[in-house]
Amino acid sequence: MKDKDIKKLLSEQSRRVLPDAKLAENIKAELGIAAERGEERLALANGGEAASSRRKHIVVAAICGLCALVLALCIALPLLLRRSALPPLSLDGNKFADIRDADSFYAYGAASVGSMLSSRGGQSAQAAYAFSATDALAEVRAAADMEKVNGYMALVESLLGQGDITSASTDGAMDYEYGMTVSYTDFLGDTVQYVMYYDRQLINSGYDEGEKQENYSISGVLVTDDGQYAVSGTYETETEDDESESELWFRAYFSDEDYIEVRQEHENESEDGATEVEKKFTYTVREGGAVERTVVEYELEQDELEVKLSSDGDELTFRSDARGGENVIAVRGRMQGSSVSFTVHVLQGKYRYEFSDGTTQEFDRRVRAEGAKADLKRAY
Amino acid sequence: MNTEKLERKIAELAQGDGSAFDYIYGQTNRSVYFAVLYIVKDKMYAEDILQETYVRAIKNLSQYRRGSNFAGWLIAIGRSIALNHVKRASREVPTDFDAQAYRYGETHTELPFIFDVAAKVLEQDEYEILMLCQVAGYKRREVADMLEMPIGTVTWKNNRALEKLRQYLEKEGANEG
Repeated sequence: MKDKDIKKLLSEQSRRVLPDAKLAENIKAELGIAAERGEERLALANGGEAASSRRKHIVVAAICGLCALVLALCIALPLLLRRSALPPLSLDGNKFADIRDADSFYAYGAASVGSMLSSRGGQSAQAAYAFSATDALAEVRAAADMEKVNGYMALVESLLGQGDITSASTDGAMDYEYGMTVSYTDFLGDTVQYVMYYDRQLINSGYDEGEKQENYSISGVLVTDDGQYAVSGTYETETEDDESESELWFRAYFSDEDYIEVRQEHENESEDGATEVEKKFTYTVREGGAVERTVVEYELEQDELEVKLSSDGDELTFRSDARGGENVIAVRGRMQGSSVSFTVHVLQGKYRYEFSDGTTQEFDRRVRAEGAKADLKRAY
Repeated sequence: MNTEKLERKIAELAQGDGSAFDYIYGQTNRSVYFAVLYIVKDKMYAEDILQETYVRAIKNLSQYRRGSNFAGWLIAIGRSIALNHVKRASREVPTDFDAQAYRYGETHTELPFIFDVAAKVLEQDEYEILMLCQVAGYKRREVADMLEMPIGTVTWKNNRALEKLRQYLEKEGANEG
């Protein structure tokens, strides 16, 4: 047994040990602190503001999560259909492998968090439930679960989509010194782009295999197709004794206190003369005091690359698949202790979840193509 | 932990701005919770005590000396309540049902084995550091700030705790084998 095994044991059991997320609400109720602030104005990064209903946000957040999943599935399916001749994703499709420095980390953070923020914008999209059977669906007995899944579908799409997440420097704007355009290809083959304007604060610098590496923090604004969000991040590596630990996170706020954060867990650990490297990303969505964490990893299963999401004891694995000449996203895993499997068809304008008993569930699909970003750019 | 922001939020809460609570709770609850859990070794009781700790602390927020360690202040309150709980429980005569809860399906507050082992073999500071680093997911630097310790001490105690657990589990495994 290694220390790593102990860490894994502790981490796997954390859900059973950590305090209930509802405790904060209980305390507030006992103290007479109003849990609902109702309609309020949310300050945006650019100084603007937007109306927001906290209660609606919380409810919609769950729905959006599910919708995002459905959306991602919908996006993925059409792309797969178009590209039925494509070989299965290989290790080359592992987009984590290209994240090696501050620039690539922030680009990944902007792309992935941006995709989730865009999905949030679609939370209000109408979900059409087309169950052909009664609610005997084991897989969808809790709509909130699917909403949660949906919240990550855009992210899944960005990770399973063909091509790399790319970035290019642009001029700074909005009083920020630097600019970066990040883009990726979604499952329909469309290019999704976001723009980030930011300032840098150098933490330290050094040389790695002859190349100068700079660690720096950023603060700025991320522009997506549906809004602008204050962002901040840190890219820092620290070494102590024989252990190297990194502090790598990127966060975008959608209100003064609420945010989506991606944190890279990348620890080099030396034990018994061997060094092991683990790389995974933890996404934290904090809204209204509630915190939800999801770990995202790539896994290689029978030479095919899969994306695995783990959250609160649930685990889902997403894989592109071709069925009857149609490209789909096959999903399997466990939710609330039960095994689930379903297929996501990506269609124009909607995602269709198809469950093992033949029932389906559809959500509107928000198209986030390059044009949206171009319009935003013109606005500046 | 952003100490400056935490202090600002505490001041806002003291002035009646309830919206500051979420931030304060989010920044401090895990360290208080594990300090309490180490003492009571029961999730349900630990949650109850955590709630009582915050209610008591916030009702007496004027007693907090601004600029001192707020998390430390909360932990002290939590430990005091937890120790009183244990003392009170030790005086109570358990019913058969309570004493043999495991036989009656009362397992909802039972901690996983490795957490029981951790509470048994680790010193309190080792336990808290291990839980914050490995279970709550904080970075060592954050834990160092939270507990007001040098990061080197956190690293050392974290590694020491892992080593103790590993040795215990290996010994248990050998005995079973």
